[in-house]
Amino acid sequence: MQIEHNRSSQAAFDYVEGLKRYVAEKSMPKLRAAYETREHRYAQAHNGEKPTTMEQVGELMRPMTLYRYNRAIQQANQGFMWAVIYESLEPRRAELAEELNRPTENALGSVETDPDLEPPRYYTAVEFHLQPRSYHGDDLAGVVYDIGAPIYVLHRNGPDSGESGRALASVIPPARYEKILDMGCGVGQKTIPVADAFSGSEVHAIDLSAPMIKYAHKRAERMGRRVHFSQQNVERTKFADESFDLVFSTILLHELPPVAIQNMIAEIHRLLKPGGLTAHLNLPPYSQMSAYNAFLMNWETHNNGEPYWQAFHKLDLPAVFRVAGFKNIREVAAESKNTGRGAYSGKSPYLVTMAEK
Amino acid sequence: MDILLGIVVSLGNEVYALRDRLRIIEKMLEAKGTISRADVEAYKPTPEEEEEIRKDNDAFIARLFRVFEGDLD
Repeated sequence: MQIEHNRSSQAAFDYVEGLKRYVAEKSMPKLRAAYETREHRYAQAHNGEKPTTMEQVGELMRPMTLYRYNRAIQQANQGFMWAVIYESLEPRRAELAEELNRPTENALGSVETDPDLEPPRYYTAVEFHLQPRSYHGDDLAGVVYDIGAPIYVLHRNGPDSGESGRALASVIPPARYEKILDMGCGVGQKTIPVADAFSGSEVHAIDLSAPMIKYAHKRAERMGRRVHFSQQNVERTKFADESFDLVFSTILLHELPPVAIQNMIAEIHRLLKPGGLTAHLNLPPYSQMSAYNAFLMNWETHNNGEPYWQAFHKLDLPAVFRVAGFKNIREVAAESKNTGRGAYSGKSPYLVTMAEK
Repeated sequence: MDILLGIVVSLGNEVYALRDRLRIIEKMLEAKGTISRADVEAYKPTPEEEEEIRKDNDAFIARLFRVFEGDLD
């Protein structure tokens, strides 16, 4: 499904991106400078000791007018982004919905929705990244996400939104993985580059959202890739024991509460053949960054529809794998080729947590 | 204050959209002499123009939010 934007929509998207760039590139350095004057005063009052925890940083940052305005602009712009995207699609809603539901002739892959699947409450209660009606509550959620995500990350993931998928594939040991599973695939932006890295494999991808996988299927078909999408819950899938050689996820885990992560990792253990590999790409935990960056990053938790973000970034993820019975658990940095600029937390590499059964 | 900023963000987008349109209309008037609305909506900038657009966008936004130059406290 080809989505062409008219000039009015493109201008609106350009403005949203420009404002994100402004916040990230022009405003954040000023925020840092203003913070440092507070930090200096704090040190003077505390025997030269600077704040060391993100909570201490927060006590200095939160009263700052510049911080509050910077974040208010970010949040307003974020809401605006989704609104202009939905507006650009509304004239074509019926046509797009019909196309999403139309079976694909001579399909390379497949898509299977499950109307009886009960999504968990932790999922339906949230509008992730403030996306209206979230990933599951609108027929066009997948289309909207595929337009919004590149704007959201200032095109960091490249024209096909796949750079972080290539980053993940680059740290997976080269081998023959006959059956591969992408957990929480969304619209398949990272499914495809990982599938490309291991051509000849049978690729399955699951997600809780029917609108997302319907769009994922059309998107993969348009790109000439064979993927089998199905609507399933990563905590408990319909696949048989020991049916996969590689199970992965990208930037998924921060959208699950810790109990769901534990269930998912246990499920992966069941799904993997003996010796099979699992790999999960995420942003690093707070323990691996400065208190200042951790504080800034944590804004997502309460302000950007990411209620499980903080718990995930404080989680000892390798321990979850240990408890599930995995071996050779390791964390590897994965750099992605950033084609855009402006990550507010700086250019942090991704962290891939890998383990074997 | 958040509401005020929200209005400012909205207003900025409206104004920007107008600037964008005007830029295109002026360019097209030069070239053609007569233009239609569909012509404007279908307009695709060249890569060089994209670069120009982006610089203008950044300058526009920097002017709009000039008030955030200082500490604000």
